[in-house]
This record gives sequence, structure tokens and C-alpha cells, in this order.
Amino acid sequence: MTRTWVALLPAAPADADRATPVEVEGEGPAVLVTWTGKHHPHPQARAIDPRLVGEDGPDMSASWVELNDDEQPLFDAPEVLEARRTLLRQWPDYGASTLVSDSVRLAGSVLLGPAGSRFDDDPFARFGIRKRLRTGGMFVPVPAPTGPALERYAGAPWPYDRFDS
Amino acid sequence: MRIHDQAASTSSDGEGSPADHDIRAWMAPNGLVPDLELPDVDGHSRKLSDLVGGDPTLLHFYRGFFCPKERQYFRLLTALQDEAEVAYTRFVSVSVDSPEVSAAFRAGLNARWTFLCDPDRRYLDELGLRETTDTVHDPYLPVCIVLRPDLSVHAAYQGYWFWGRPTAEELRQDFRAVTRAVRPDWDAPR
Repeated sequence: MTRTWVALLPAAPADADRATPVEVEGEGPAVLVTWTGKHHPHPQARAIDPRLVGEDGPDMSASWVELNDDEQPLFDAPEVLEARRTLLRQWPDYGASTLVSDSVRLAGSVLLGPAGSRFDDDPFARFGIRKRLRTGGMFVPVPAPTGPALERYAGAPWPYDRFDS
Repeated sequence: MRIHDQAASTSSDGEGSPADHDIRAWMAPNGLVPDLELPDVDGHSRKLSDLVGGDPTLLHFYRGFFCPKERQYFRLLTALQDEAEVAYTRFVSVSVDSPEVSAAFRAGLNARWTFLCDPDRRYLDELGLRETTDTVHDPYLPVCIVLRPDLSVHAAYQGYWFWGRPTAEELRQDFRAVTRAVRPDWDAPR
């Protein structure tokens, strides 16, 4: 299946479809990179809900959580389910996506809001290393999923909600 | 009781609601629900077809936060959401409450599905769902529609009287029937 992949890297790899400079709070400049394709394009690449990636998005802040390979809980673990329920109750202003690198584990998350949002209550922050960054127009707003369904559709990163991926 | 069953059994004793004799064509089995477009609790304009996507969906019209019958019925739905969340099944609730009021009501209910807001009463008459006996709130009639992904009606229930609303078990049966019809792998692949 074709996926949209993202990674937060120090520099853009040559094979990236797009690379947008971003500012990571407390760390400095980095690059948000995207690819589209069936195969995992980079060791740090994560599949994302494809609706979030677009052109000329508004200035946003993001809460970016990344989990190392040996720290990734099962996507259907109770604590991950509860984090998804929490997001359904209170959807971030500009959207959110889990990040995955396979069909069974959670590999990260991204929550999006207006510039300056702090995301102090990001329910995924407990799972890994959380970074705050400005997204530089890479993402576009996506409204909340319908709910209450919160399962993955054909392995796509939640909340993508069609079986056509 | 489903609306088409209700119509067949409604007596002429006047006990039924003013709406019992006014079956809207779109609510008949296989009728098509108009593709409503209304703001959600965050103020984002949402189209019903996008919200339904490819899944069985409960389209639930309710009077408003003020009605104890609605609050009681939401208890049933919030219990059922724990099953729907793992069953690729969606809920959409619609009222004349504003986004701000709906957001607070939804949060208080602990509901995890989309609430649509029609404070301008845009669809009350188009759908034929104006509750004429409440001239204070001018709300929607309480109606539950179980939709297929193409917005066609599998079943419709009119809940002017509380017992007209579908039980959780009736909704499960409806969701099962729609899921069986729309999932090509209902019989598990071998």
C-alpha cells in the first residue's frame, strides 16, 4: 500500500519528495521530510495520515513524539487506545496523526495547533521523546474524525478512516 | 420501533405524536438522506457524506441539552460507543444547539463522536423534522437513522415518545445487517 512518510531529520536526504526547514524548541533548526511510496524510505521515516501533508499550510506549532524501535508499544495496547480516546474527546485545533512504521506498533504522533500552542496535555507524550516545533507550512488542518470508531483502517495511521489506502 | 413498522401499527386514537402520520419519504427504507452540511463543535463545516465515509453510521437527531429524555438516551449511546469504537461504526448527533453549547454538552457526556450544530434551523423544514409542539426551543424531532455508507436508510426510528427510540440491541442488529451488506469479507477470507 502506498503511504505518506515523514521524518524529522537534521538534514534532508537526497531522495526526499519534500523537505521543509523547521525550528525545534530547545534544539534549533531541523528539516521535516516527506516521501510517498510503498516502502519504508528511511530508518526514521514514519507513516502519517496523508491528509495532514499539504502545500502552503498555515503557520502551526506541533507536538512531535517519536519512539525508538525498541520502545514502541502495540498500537492496540490499552494505554494507546486511551490516548486515542482522549484525542477524540478533545481534538487539536489543526489535527493530529499517529505515526507508524508497521501494522502493529505505535511509532510516534503529531498534534497540530495554532502557532504558540504548547500541547501540555498531549496524551502521547508519555510514550516517547516529545519535541515542540514550528511546522513551516508542511501540514494542513484536518478536522476531527467522526468517532467513536478508533481502529486503524487496513494498517493506515489513525485517524485515516477509509479502507482505500 | 422502526418508523415503517410504526406507520403500519399507528392507531387512530390520537395517542401518537403529531409526527406519527407524517412519514418523510427520505426516512423510508432505502430512502436517501440529504448530504447535510453543518458546523461541528469546533465550528468546522462538515458534510455528512464525509463523516459517514465507508462505514455504517447512526445519524441521531436530538432536541437539545435541555431535554431529560435526550440526556437519558445519550447514556445509552455513550455506553454503546465502547462497542462502536472497535466496530468501524460511526455516530453523528445533530441538534439546534450552538457549537459552544454542544461542545460543553458533548464533553459532559464523555461522547467521542461528532456533534453537528444547526442553530439557524437550516434543515428543520427541509427534513420535515421540526418538532411543532415545542415553540420555546424549536428543536429537531428526536429521530435515529441507521445509514449505509451511501447515505441510504437501513432503518429509522422516531422518538417523540421515548419508547420509540431504538434500544442498544436494535442498533446492534441494524449495524450488523449493514456491516454484513457492505463488507465483502464479512465471511472471513480463507
